[in-house]
Amino acid sequence: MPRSRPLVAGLAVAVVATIATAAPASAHDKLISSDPASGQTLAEAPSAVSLTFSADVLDMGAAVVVSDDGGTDWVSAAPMVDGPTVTAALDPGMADTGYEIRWRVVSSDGHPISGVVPFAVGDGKPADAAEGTGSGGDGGGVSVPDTAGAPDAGADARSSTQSSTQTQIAQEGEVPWRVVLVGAGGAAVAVALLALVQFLRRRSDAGGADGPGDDPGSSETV
Amino acid sequence: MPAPGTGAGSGRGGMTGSTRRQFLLGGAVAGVGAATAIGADHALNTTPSTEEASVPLNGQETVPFHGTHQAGIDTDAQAHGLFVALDLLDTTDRDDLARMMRILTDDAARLTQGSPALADSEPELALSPARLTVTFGFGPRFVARAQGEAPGWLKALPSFTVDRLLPEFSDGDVLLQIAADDPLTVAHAARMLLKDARSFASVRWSQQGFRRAHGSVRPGTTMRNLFGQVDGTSNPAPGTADFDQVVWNGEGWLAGGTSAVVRRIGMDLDKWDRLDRGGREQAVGRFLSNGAPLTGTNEFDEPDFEATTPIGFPVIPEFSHVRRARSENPAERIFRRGYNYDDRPAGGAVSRSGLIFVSFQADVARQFVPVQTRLDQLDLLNEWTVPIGSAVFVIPPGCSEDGFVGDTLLTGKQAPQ
Repeated sequence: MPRSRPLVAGLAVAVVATIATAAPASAHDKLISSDPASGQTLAEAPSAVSLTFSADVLDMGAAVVVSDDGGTDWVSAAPMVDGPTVTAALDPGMADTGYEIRWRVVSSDGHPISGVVPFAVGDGKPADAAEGTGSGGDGGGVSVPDTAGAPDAGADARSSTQSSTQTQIAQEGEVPWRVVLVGAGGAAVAVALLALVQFLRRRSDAGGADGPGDDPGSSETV
Repeated sequence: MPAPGTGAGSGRGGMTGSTRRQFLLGGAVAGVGAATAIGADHALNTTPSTEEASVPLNGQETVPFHGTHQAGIDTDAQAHGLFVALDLLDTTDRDDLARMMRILTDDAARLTQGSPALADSEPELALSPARLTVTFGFGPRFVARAQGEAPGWLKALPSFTVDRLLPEFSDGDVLLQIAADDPLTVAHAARMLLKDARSFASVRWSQQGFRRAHGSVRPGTTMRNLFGQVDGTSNPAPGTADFDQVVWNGEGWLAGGTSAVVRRIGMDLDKWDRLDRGGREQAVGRFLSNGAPLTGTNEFDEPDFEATTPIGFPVIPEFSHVRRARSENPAERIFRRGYNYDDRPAGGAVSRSGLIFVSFQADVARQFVPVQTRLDQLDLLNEWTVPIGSAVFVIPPGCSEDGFVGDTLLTGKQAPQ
């Protein structure tokens, strides 16, 4: 039945075109590095953590929690925002275990973003990063201090990075499901009718040429 | 592209002319089928609204003018609002003020009921009041000129760091709030009032605003501003004791009156465009779809400021507009009745739009200022908004049929009960 494939594809296009809606461009900043880096194990407890973003973040709304397994927050003071970098000082005495840096900042376009960076001290193990670290995931590995001259100007023009963050509430406009279903049903019926008509016509063509010579390569017969 | 019918040649991707045509035909047929089905579904499932046939024209609807309170405050907001501030002429004295308010009151009383004003130059335009209301307010200089006792809050607001105020949208001695569901009615009423006021005062500023047209949405629907936000959800409902407490003042000549804060808020729609839906919702703390708080599902659900995301940050960010505007002190509330504006763009921008923020409250200092102070200190929405005009007026009580608006101030008459 290879002939039905284009029909199905056409139907699929029609359905997709019905559902597709334009998503607004987004240009949030991203976490590009952190100290400690994601998954890093430090020999000694750090005195501070720092997070560096792809552009200057707003002074407003930066929050950092450094939590151990027991849920204790080791951040000792409100985080400092300096351009693209957010630094939070830590209390001394952190035990050898796994920690999470839970951060939230307001990116330069006004969009709050958040994420988690796991790390460990001593023989602790970093917490599992799989719990959805939002846009922070790619800051892991080596933390490259490449930030001093980070071009902020380009941030707004940067193409959509679609960082799906924890706090970004997934929000879709109400999809008109009824219309979609009714439309899809109508489309399916119409396509089925078309296929039937073509099938019947072909049969009645008594196996002759199936078109005015525009399909020389066609060896398929129905 | 081969011309239609020649067909051969492009076997690219293994798709022959015939199958391509079938593809297109399939798509077209599917589209027609979908449209037909949707159309039929719609036609069959839409109840025809025949009941409107006997409903009187909206233009004939009127809002009573006389009463304890002036109309245009607890009145369900009309579609079009015009705000005009006047400067008193230097020569206008106390007696002139009384004369002016007598004349303007007479104009307003007639026009709002669908009658031409005295010596109306276009009387036909008065015949469709379309819920016209005219609400008068007095600035500090009016009350001083009237030698009345001004409430302590009747003065310019404290300056806020976010303010970029322009004199052409600020202050004023008299406020005319002229609102109706028909812009022609508004324009005519404004013209009649201003013609009668011009020997006492001159126009200082004028701001034209709009909401949804009459009949576009169900009456009582919370308005949307040009950011697309549902704007005004937490308003007290007119007709409730709560509303009365928030809005009406009970003191002296002002008993039955209130105050109006009129601020022009520029909204940077072009910058707002760069923020996606999730970001927009967090800036405010409400969903765009229906205005529900980010912790709720319906518009009027109470926001849960304690709710946190899986990693422990507030679902409604502490810097969001809803969070910052909300006070622990129930006295610090206001009644908003704003209008959108949409000016001619300038300087390469494609919009110059915003909100004519209008709030009524019994006491500006006790209710409005604390809220605005909090928003001035921290509100993510400030990233996209800038106040460019600001004015404070006292709104005198309404008047009886043998009185005029302002008579409790200008003649010592008792406020109507």
